[in-house]
Amino acid sequence: MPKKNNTKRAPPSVPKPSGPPPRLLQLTSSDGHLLQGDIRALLLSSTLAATIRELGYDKEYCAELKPVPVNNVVGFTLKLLIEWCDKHKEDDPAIALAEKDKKNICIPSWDRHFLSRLPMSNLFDLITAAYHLDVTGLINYGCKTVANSAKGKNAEEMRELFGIPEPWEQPSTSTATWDD
Amino acid sequence: MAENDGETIVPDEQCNLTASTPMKSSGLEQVESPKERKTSMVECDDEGNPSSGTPDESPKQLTPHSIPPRRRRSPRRPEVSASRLPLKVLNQIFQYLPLKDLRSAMLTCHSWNNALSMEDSDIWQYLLGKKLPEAAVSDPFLLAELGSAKKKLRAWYFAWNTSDISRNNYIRTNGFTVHRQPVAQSTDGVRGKRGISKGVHAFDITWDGPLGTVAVVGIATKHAALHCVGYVALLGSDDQSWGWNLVDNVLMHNGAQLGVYPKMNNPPKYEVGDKIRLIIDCDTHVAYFERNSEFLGIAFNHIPPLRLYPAVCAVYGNTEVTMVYVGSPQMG
Repeated sequence: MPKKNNTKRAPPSVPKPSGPPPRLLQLTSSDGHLLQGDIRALLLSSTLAATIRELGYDKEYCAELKPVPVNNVVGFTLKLLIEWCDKHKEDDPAIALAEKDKKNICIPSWDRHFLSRLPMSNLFDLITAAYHLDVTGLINYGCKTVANSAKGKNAEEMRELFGIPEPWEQPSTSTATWDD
Repeated sequence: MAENDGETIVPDEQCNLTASTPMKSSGLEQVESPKERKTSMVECDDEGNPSSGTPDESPKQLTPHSIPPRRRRSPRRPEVSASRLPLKVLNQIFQYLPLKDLRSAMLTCHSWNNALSMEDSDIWQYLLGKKLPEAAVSDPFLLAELGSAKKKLRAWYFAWNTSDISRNNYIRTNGFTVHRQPVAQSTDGVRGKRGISKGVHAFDITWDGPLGTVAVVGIATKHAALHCVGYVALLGSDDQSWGWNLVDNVLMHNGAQLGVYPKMNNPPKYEVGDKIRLIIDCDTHVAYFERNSEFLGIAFNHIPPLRLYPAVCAVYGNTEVTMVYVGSPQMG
């Protein structure tokens, strides 16, 4: 394990000599994986931002950073989310909030490529993780990507696209349970 | 356990390298368990739902040679599938879809149908604000009977047709009220946007302003004429329409008078502002009216199985008729 930690920490610091050195925070996923991300990137998540600020990890003088548990996201999805946040850590947070109420948002090319290469099940995992961790921009682009793929399709094609079973194979409960 | 982990890491790394884009070694370690779980979940889905499998997924399923017992353990975590997304996420996805696709989404699975069946959710509120004119949304009386945004949106799709109307009529900005201009020696009608051919449907019709000598409410096929010269009970004058003249309470169809309606001695005259509900039962081929929620008896029998539109025709200048679709009426 210590060796793995070393290998994790070494690569990110080397390719970013310019700018302030990134301060890395480790996150523990629900299935026990240890991932790390730049604190500035993780602040895009309102949930993680509250935790980081409450623990004082956003202060420059705070040296000892203990891993923060993320109990409702698995490691694979959490890694994707960190990758997205790392790309958008320089964005103006007002943009994501403004796009939340717009119906014709335009997905940037990097995001379109990032989201389109995911299988549909991973995309749903990522959107759900973004919802739980309250990453507004990722929710906007993820939902828009799903809606774009669903446009123009009938019910049969939607089931095939999203991997939903046929009606006679679906559970017969008339009231679905919501995560909210 | 450590030995098992060590054994499984090696083949997974090789398989994952071919399955996904190149990643860092630490990434590979993290990818390991979720991939296995997803693979086994996909297998379970394939067993239950063969049609849902995609050709891209099958190679991934075949490539992992991990220990079978570990695959079977992985379905502890409930899989996040399209039908199990959080409600707010579903609503945000649906907000980007047009109305036609929302209909397909309602038929896709139960949870999507449940989400879209909440008739005052953000989806319907947004579409209501987008489709309906501001004059209709802000009118406190026009759509007061309809209790949800979805029902109001539905009424919009059944409202008067701006392109299927006599040239002397025009639809007011609220989209639900037809206004007849003061043109002499002319009878002018209008049809609804959407016809019906099955089920039971109710339309609330309110006549504002004087009736004149002819004021007919009724139903018409798409071939019924909507304009003629003179002051004529046009609706009901041929076999394409059925009408009830509120001036003398006479029912008409195919040019013949079918008697007074309601069928009683001295039926009361229509008073301006009364709400008339036209109910068309396509399944039993009858049509009847209610006035201020009072059933008046069967008006028309043996209606042919055609697509029928609500219609009115008027002769009085500046008279106005409002029609609001209310869906299937409540049977008392």
